[in-house]
Formats: sequence, structure tokens, C-alpha cells
Amino acid sequence: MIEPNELLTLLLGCCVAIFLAANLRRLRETVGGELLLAYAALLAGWAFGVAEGFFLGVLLNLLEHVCYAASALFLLSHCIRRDDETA
Amino acid sequence: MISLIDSVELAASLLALCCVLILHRHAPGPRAIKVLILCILVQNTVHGAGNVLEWSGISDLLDPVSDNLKTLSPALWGSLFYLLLRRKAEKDLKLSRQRFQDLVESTPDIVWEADRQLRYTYVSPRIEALLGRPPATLLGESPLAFMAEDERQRVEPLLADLIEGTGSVSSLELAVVNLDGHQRIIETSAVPYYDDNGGHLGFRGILRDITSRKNNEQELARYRLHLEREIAARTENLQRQTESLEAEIQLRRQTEQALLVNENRYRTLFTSSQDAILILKDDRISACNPKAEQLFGRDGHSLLGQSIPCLSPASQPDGRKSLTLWQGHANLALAGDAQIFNWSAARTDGSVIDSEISLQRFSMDGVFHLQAIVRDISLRKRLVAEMLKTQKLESTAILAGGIAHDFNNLLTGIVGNISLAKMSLDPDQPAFRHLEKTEQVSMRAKNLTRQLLTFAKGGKPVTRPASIAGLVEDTARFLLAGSAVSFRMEAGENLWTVCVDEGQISQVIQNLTTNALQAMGGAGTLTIRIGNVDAGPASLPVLPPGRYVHIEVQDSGNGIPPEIIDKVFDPFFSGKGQGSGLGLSVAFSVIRNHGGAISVESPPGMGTIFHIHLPAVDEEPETAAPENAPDRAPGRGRIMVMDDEETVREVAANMLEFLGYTPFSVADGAEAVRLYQQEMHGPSPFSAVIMDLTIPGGMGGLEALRHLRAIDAGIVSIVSSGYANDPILAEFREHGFSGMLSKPYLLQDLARVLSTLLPA
Repeated sequence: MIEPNELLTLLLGCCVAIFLAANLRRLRETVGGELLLAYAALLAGWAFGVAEGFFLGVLLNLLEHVCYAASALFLLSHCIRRDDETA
Repeated sequence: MISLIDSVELAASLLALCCVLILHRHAPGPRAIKVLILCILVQNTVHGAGNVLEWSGISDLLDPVSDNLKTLSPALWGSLFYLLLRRKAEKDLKLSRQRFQDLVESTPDIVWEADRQLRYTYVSPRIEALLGRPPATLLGESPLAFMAEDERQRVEPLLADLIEGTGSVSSLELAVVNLDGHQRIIETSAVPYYDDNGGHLGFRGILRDITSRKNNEQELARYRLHLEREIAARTENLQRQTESLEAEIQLRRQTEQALLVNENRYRTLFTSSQDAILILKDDRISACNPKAEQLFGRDGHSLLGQSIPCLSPASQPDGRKSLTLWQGHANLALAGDAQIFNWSAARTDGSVIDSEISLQRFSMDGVFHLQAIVRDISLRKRLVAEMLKTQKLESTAILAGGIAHDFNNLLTGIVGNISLAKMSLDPDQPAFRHLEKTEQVSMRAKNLTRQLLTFAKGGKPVTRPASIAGLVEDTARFLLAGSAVSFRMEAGENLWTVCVDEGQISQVIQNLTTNALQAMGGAGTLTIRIGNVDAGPASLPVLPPGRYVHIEVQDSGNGIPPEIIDKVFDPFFSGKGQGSGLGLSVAFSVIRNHGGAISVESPPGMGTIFHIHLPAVDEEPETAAPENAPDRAPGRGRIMVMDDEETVREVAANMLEFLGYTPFSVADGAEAVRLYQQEMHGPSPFSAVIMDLTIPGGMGGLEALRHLRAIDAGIVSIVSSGYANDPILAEFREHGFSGMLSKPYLLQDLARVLSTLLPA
């Protein structure tokens, strides 16, 4: 079953992803790879969250949480590393 | 499992929050980014905490909050990324500005920006070094504000054009005055710039201080001018030096040419000199000319290194040692006293060279050398001897001529009286025969005086072109007729013609033949050879080169001893002890008067050989016309006899009277002229005049004839002289006389001449 807010989140997330893709070269010079990976994992988690309502609910739910955890870890890594560019 | 994963998410989020909040990670970053990071971390923390609490079954209160925050999550992340990109762009812009600022301020040129009225809106800081003013004080000022009045007047129209035309300028040079009042030269460019809509905003450009460059350019220009002047001066100097060098080269060429000409000239003089020239160094021959080789009979190499005494006999003719004598001359010459002396040198064949040496020193390469000019004077010695002999002959001839003249006058008296005496005697009488013998002896005496006169200078030959062979042969044969001497005549063909007095040449041959007859003792062979000789420069010592007819008279006698052979032509010298001693002297005189030469040689066993050379002429021989003997007839008329000798006057008068004439005698030419003029218009004018040629102290016959011919152009005049060979007698017609009588003359001679000249 599809949660409307999850779908909305995914759509917004995809819009941001398109924005990132358009400025990916400049972002790679400015933002650390961890931050992009964190967002990518988060976007994947959102995608799994929407998809679990249709098939493989348990597995995709698990992957959704793994992606969230990975995103959190990438973000932690970003924060631990003192990245002047990001700053 | 999921709870564990969510726990990890929660723990990581919390840990990240701690890092940001406690450890101040991202401290330097902008606040908005920091807030967004915190929001994302809070959202993650809430999401993890909600899940943990939900799975642990403690509470699900956080789910709605978590879901709402989750919905905001993309916006947070998008904002975060946007801010990061914007910050990146601002940072790049800042870096770019800083870069251009650094470039502008670090460049030595001045960058400026002005509005549309060309008032400065920006000037780079280096303007202060140029004008002494900070850039801020220039803002709003026009460039004209920093110029002097005259420069401003010059530049203002240009700037006005720039403002009006909104065009651009490049490399515009301006003179500005800085704060210290010093003028600086700048070069500027200006280009307009526009906004995004194309609106003209103003001008930008670059100023450059070119004062140093200008000063350098001026300095360079001055230096260039200086260099150009230096170059011009040096070029002019070089030109002068080149001209000088060219002139020197030309002079040297001319000098070399002159030296070459001189060298050739002196080399020619040296090599072609007719005297031997020797260069002596340290008394040894170091150079010699070809004549020296010829003179000494050696080649040049064998002469080099020799000394003159080595080329000479041990002693000189005066008995002194050659070496001692030479050293004396050489020392004096080396001391500067030039020496000229006679020297006898020797050839390799032992023959002696009579020479005259001129010895003088000269300096070459700082060393004194001796120059010896050796002249062969053998020929000169012979010529001197010949000249002495000739002078002796001439003096003797003068004496002989005078004696012969006087003797002829005396003989005239003797012969004339004998002729008259004979006429008065019967030929059968003994006295007639005695007189006849006396007359013959007198005629021999006449021949003697004739030879004396021929020997003397007065015997000038009356020459005509003739072929000599016949004359010579006839004379010799006539004399040899009846003798036991055989005669051989060898005459070459096509003999050249000679110009001779046949009588005198006949006398020469007669004398030589007589001499040969006496030398051979009446028996032997006389050979006469006649041929042509084309003599070269040195063939005949006493004669010039040319064509000659050579007569060779050779007898088969004992010859002439060498000790007297040089004296045979001396007058009154006789090697035979008989004769007058005049024969060869007369022959010598005759041949010399003909321009020829006579010489004698007596090779052992070949008798005596006389050589006569007579110059040949290109004319054809003439044939003498025989004279017809005039008929004798009794004379009539008055005849004047002019002679200084009384005996001659008397005899002539008697002979004339005997011949039928009326004689009248005078002793002087002047008196003869006076009487002739006096009697010329009288009843008995003179029919003829017989005049002596020479009247001592009075008017002679030749001068008297001139006066007489002035009186009577048709006068019959007869010249008479004791100088039987006088040229006037030989050519009496050329001198105006009608006839000639050579003293002594016989009655028949007088009758023949008068009968020829006077009408019967």
C-alpha cells in the first residue's frame, strides 16, 4: 500500500537528484563524496519504502532501513572528516 | 534485525550531531549550511529514534513527527546542495576578483577606467608612482587636469574626438605633470566598454610611463646621431686614408715601374756594355757582365770568386808584381780615391790583354764594393801608334812638299835650258847626247819630286769611278816585262767599282811591284789578288765597316824581318839599302788619301804580302777619253809669264821666244794684272798669261786670275806650279784656268799647251 507522504518524499527527492545530476561536476569539486553517497542512500531508502508497498515488502523494508542506516553512516563520516570545501 | 539497523542509524545520527555541536565540525562554514546539516541530522535522529522505539515496542509517538520530517528531508537536502553550490560560486568569484586585482596591481602599467566624459572612476595604485597622487584623489578627474597648458591644447581635441566618436585610441603619447612639477611622458590606450544592453558606460585603458623609454630613445637618438657623426668622421677619415693609400699605391706602382725601367736600363747597360764590368767584394769578383767573359775568355762562373791578379800575368809590363800593384790600386780605391790605370790581363790561352781599368768604390748594403771597368785598349794602342805614324808622315810630307816645289822650280830652269840648248845643237854632236842624258836624269829627278809631292798632302787625287783590276794588271805587267819574275793575277768576278785617281793608284802598284822585284832579286813569282770584302765592325781596325775592294800583292821573296816591318811605311826608310825610301810612304799616302788603308804582313816562308783596301762605290766605272796630241805650229802673240823665280821667268821667256811668241815676264800677280789691263786696249794686248800658282809674299796665280777675268772674261790663262799634284792643277778648269803646265816642263809641253789654247 502506498503511503502518500512517502511518494511525495520520493518525488521531491528525485527532483533534488535531477538538480544534483545537473550540477554534479561542480558539486564533486565542492561537496565531499560522503555527502553525495549519503543522499544517494537516502534516495534509495525512499525508493525502497515506496516499492515495499507493492512487492517484497519485508526485503525492501529491510533494504529501506539499511539505506537509511548507510545514509546516516555516510553523513557521520562526512561530519567526522573535516571537509573545508563543505564548510 | 531492523531494530538493529535502525539503531545504527540512530547512533550514527546522534554521533554526527555530537560532532557538529560538540566538536564544532563545520565551524568555519556559513550558518545556513550548518543549520541545514543540523536539521538533516536531527531529522535522521528522530527517524532512527522513532523506528527504534517503534520496533522495541516502547512507543510510537515519534512516528508522525518522523514521517513529517521525512517529507521535509528532500527540501533540506536540496537547500543544502543549493547553498553549497552558491557558496562555491561566490568563492570562485572572489578568487577571480582577487586574481584580477593582483594582476592589475602587480603590472607595471596603470589600468584605468573612466566614465563617458573620460573622468576617472578607477585608477590602479601604481598611478601614485607616476603622478605622486593616491588613486583616490584622481577619481572624477579628467586626464587634462594633469597636463601643461600647451599639451592640454594639443590633446584636448583628440580626447573630444574620442568622447564624441566613442572610438578607441592606441599608443597615444601624452605629457603629464606630476605633483613635483616634473613632466612625465605616458603612453595610453582607451577602449569603450558597454553594459549588457549595449549602453556606453565609459572607457578603459592602460597607461604606461614611457619617460625612461623616451629619455632612452632621446639618448639613443643622440647617441645614434653621435655615432652617425663618428661614423661619418671615421668614414671620411677612412676615405682620406683610402685615398692616401691609393695615392701611395699609385706612387709605389709608378716607383716600381720606374725602378723596373731603371733596372732594365742599368741591366742593359751592364750586359750590353762594350767594357768588361766586374763587381769586387773583398777583392773577389762577385758579378761580371758578358763582355768580361768575352774579354777574359772564361765563362761567368769561373770568373766568380777570382781576383784580378789571378787573371793577370805575374808581372806587369813595367816589371812590377801584379799582386802588389793591384793591392795598391785597390786600397786607394777603397779609400775613396778612384783609380784609372793601364793593366795587362791574361786570357786562359795565355794571350795578354792590354786594358785600362777604372776602379772605384761604391756602397751596397752598407759594405764597400769595388767596381772595375776593364776596357780593352789593344785596338786603341794600335790606333795611337798608327796616328803617331801618320803625324810623322804628315810632318815629313810638308817638308818634302816644300823641297819638291823648290826643286821643281830649279828643275824647270835646268830642263828648259837643256831643251833650248838641244834645239841649238846638231843631234850628232857629242854635246847633244850629253845634254840628252842630262835631260833624262833631270826627268828622273822630276819623277822623284813628283813622288815627294804625291807623298805630301798636296797630292789630292782626282778620282773617277773605275774598275781597278785592269789598271793594276796593266801596271804590274808593264813593270815586270822583260824580268824573270812570273806574274799571276787572280781577280774575282763582279768586282765592285772604286773611285780612284788612276795615275796615283798606278803609281802605288808601280811602287809595290818595284819593291817586290827588288825583294825577289829579279826572280820569283808576284801574285796579285783582287776581290770584294764586306767588312764588319771589327774586321778592319783602321777603317769603318763597309764594302771594300781588297788588293793583295804578294811576292816570293825572303819577307821583311819583324823588327823593321813597322817602319816600312816611314819616309826615306829602306830595308834594301837601295832606292829613295819613298815608294811605300807614297803608297801609304795615296791609299790614305783615297779613304782606304794599306798594311803589310810577312808570314814566315810566304814572302811579303801587302793588303790594300779601297772603298767601293755604287757607280758604274767611267772610261777615260784619250787626249789627242795637238799639232805643233809656230806661235804668235804676246805671252806674259808671271813667276817669282827669276830662273823660271828667263827659261820660260827663252822657250816662248824660241816658239815664236813675244814673252813678257813679271814677278807678281798684282803687277801682271796691272800690265794686262794696261796693254789690253793697246796695240799689242797679251794673248795668254802663264802664272805661277804660289807667289811668296805676293798675289798668287789664282787670285790674279780672278782679277784678270774681271777685266777680260775671255782671257787665256795657264797655271804653272812646282806642286805638280796640287788639286788646282788637277782641276784647273774648275778654277777658271784654260791650261796647265806642271813644273818642270819641257819645250814640247809648253808648245803643246799653247798651240792647243791659242789660234794658229
